[in-house]
Amino acid sequence: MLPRILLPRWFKWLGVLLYVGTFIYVAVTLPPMDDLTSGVGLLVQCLCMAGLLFITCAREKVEDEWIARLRLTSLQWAVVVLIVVRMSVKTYAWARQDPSVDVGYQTNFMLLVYALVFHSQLYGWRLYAWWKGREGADE
Amino acid sequence: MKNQLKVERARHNLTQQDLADAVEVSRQTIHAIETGKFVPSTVLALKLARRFAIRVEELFALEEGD
Repeated sequence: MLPRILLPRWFKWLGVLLYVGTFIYVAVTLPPMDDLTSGVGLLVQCLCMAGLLFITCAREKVEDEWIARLRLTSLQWAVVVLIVVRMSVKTYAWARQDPSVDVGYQTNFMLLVYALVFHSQLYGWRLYAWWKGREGADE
Repeated sequence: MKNQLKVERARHNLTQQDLADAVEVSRQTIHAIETGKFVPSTVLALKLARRFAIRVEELFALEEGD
């Protein structure tokens, strides 16, 4: 991902706020997400997706070649996971002959996987260092 | 590819953050290079070598299989 299309750093926190906010709103009020006549469902889905987009496209404190590589590998993993999950769920729905199985994992799922993989790689070593009693955190 | 980054950093009494600031990368990048998870670009390798005032070949060396 080219640094020039990245958003300012504070967009990450705006994205977290939007994503968690819409998640809580959906859990509490259960709005009609797939009702095309209701604007609420559309608004919730758009805010949720915008939140994930802001989290994934926000600039890190230092954008360098290691971060660029992490972004690329995270995107690759997200695409692979999305394809595998969709194929698995569609095969499961076909095998069960069950049209009620949700096969609609799309953009938001991919962005979520991307964000999880990217941030686990970026901050995972800090957790590891903490787990090992700060050994190797800053030798 | 193996490297002497940690050794040189210790020799110059620098923390990962000091070195990261000097070559304008993140601390995670220095950690990734030291642990062998990441092979830096030519530009970054040259910057690191220049910071320690040594040649790139003294800092980075090919391994069997590279």
